[in-house]
Amino acid sequence: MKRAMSDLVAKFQSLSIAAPALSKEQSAFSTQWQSVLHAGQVEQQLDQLNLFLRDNTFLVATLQPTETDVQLFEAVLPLSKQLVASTKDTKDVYAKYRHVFRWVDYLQQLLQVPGADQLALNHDLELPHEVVE
Amino acid sequence: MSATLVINGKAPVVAYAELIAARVANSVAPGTVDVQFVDDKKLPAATFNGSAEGTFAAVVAAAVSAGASSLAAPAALSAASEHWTQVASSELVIKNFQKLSQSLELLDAQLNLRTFVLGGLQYSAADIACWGALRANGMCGSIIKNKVDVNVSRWYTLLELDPLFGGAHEQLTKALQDLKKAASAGKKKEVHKA
Repeated sequence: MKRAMSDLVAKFQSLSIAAPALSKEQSAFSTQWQSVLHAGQVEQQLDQLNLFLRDNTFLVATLQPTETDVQLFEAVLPLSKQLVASTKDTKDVYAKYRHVFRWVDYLQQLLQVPGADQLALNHDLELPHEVVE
Repeated sequence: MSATLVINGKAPVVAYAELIAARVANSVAPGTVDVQFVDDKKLPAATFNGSAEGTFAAVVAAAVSAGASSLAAPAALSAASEHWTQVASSELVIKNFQKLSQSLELLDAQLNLRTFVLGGLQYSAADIACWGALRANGMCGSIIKNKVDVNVSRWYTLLELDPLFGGAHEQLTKALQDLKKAASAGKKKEVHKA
């Protein structure tokens, strides 16, 4: 697990996506998600993660993914696969975690995760329109 | 030889998509498209090398041949690319709230599980077409802000972070101010002459 994580981070670094200068708000997001990861709370915070990714494409609200995205992705990919595998009601899981799945899909493509290890995603599955209260 | 794009700042639907595509072309290879501005309601929204037809496709083609290869949709997605470019120019620019809401809901569905309109890791011409149409449509500002279609709002906000998209409005505004200044300076001169 540890080794695989450093592999993904190394892969990300090899893509030479410049690390942007972070605003105060972005730094706070980065710190927030790092602390969730280090506290081993990713699974418990998955709903929060989905909510954040509803409004932001990436975890630090940047134009391109950062290393924080890659580190969290390492933990979220297996959780996402479990969620899809453990239910017959795919639509329901997709609807609930659509933003996490979209983000996972972006990162697994970016990091060229081998096909067999990827979250298999049906991009065209019809989901109910999400209403923001 | 550089191409010339003329953007009409007073058009009912300002050609943001063309402007952004030209900005992308020039960011890859400076001087690819010479962008000029006019402010005359009677003129077309955009002309490219003198023609008002198929301007967006022409600017995209110029950008692609200048090296912005990511703007071209992969062969497997060319039908989808055409579809969304068409939706952008015919449906996302309209001001009828009910019809616009329906079109935005379809774009929202497309963005449920995709970061960009055609999926993939980078924006394509379809994103530029749709984003430009929404930028030009005065109805869309509050719809996007109020997260009526939350995927559209997220996608729109992401691209706005890109200076090539987010800076287009400033370029237009500044150019129009310069035109106004030049025009009023011209008038004063005439008055002075008389």
